[in-house]
Parts: sequence; structure tokens; C-alpha cells
Amino acid sequence: MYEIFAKLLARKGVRPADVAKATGISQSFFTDWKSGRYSPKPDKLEKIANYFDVSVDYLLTGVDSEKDYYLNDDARDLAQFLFENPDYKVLFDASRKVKREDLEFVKELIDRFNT
Amino acid sequence: MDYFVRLIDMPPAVRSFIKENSDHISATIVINARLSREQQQEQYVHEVGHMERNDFEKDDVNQIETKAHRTQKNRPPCGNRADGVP
Repeated sequence: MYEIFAKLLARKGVRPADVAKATGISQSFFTDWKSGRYSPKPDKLEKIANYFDVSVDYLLTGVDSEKDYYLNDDARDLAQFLFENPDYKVLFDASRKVKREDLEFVKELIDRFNT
Repeated sequence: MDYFVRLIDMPPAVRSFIKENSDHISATIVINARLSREQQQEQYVHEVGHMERNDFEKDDVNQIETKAHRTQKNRPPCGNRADGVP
């Protein structure tokens, strides 16, 4: 897991001290983590993940299972269209499994708002 | 920013949405009326969060929603809510 953290440091061009300062986690924590003396608990993992704008899952495994929020390609495409189109300009909170027809319902709702 | 909130019956998979209004100084938040009072309040917080993060200035809805859910604390991943809401 520290190896993933090290890659994130390199990618962002920062040092553990910078992460410590931004997150409020002590510098000694990162030293202990690197030496294998300590494994971070969930609260620290979340702070570190938020700092790098990655998921905790990614920090633990190196794989971001949340990369694609929408699991249905048709729904994602319609969500993107409704976001970009100035006649709609909408963001949803929907299930990751939302179907295109569910978002079509919202599109028709907005069409009624606009008339 | 002014928010106009409406409660409307929607498909269960759609919890809420936020739409920038044409005046550019207000937004309409539509929340699924089927949700409980507590869930409706959570949705309000979620949608206001989009404005606070300037999400309408970004590009990709996948990344916007992934980050919105990541930063919303105490919220389980979608599809895994204990109350059964998808």
C-alpha cells in the first residue's frame, strides 16, 4: 500500500511532509508507515485519499473501481448530453445502475418546465 | 445563489437532480418525492454540493458524480444502501 502512496507522491510532485501539512497527519506517521511499523486506519486513509483525489479503494489496491460512475453506457451518454446541453444543464444523483429510460423521464420533465 | 426546491415522483433510480436556471443566479433542485424526509434532506445537501464545487464548470459527469459521492461523508456506495434505495 505504501508503494501506491509513493506513486501518488511522485505523480503530484509532493513529499510526505506536504501531505502531512495538508491533512493534519503527523510526519512520523508516514515514516512509520514506510518502515512497515504501522498500517493506516480508515480515518487516515480517507484523508490521504481525499488529498490525492482518489478513492480509498485505489489507495488500498491501486485500482479505481469508481472510475466510471454510470454502469450503463446509454445512461451515461444521456447524462453527459443533459449536462452539456444549455437547454438542460442538469446534474443527477442517480443509482450507478440507472437506465437510459429513467433519465428520459427527467428530460421530459425538464421539457415541461421549459414550456 | 437561490435554490428552488421541488418534490416530484420520479423513477426510484433517480434520487434528485439540479438544473441551473437561465438567469444564472438560481438553480432548481428536484428531489424524488418517494424518498423519506431524511433522504430528501440528504439529497438537498448533495445537490447544493454540486454548486459549491462549481461542478457545472467541469467536463465529465462520470468524474463529477464519483467525486460527489466520495466527498459526501457517511454515504455508502450506490446500490448498497441499507434502506434498499438503489
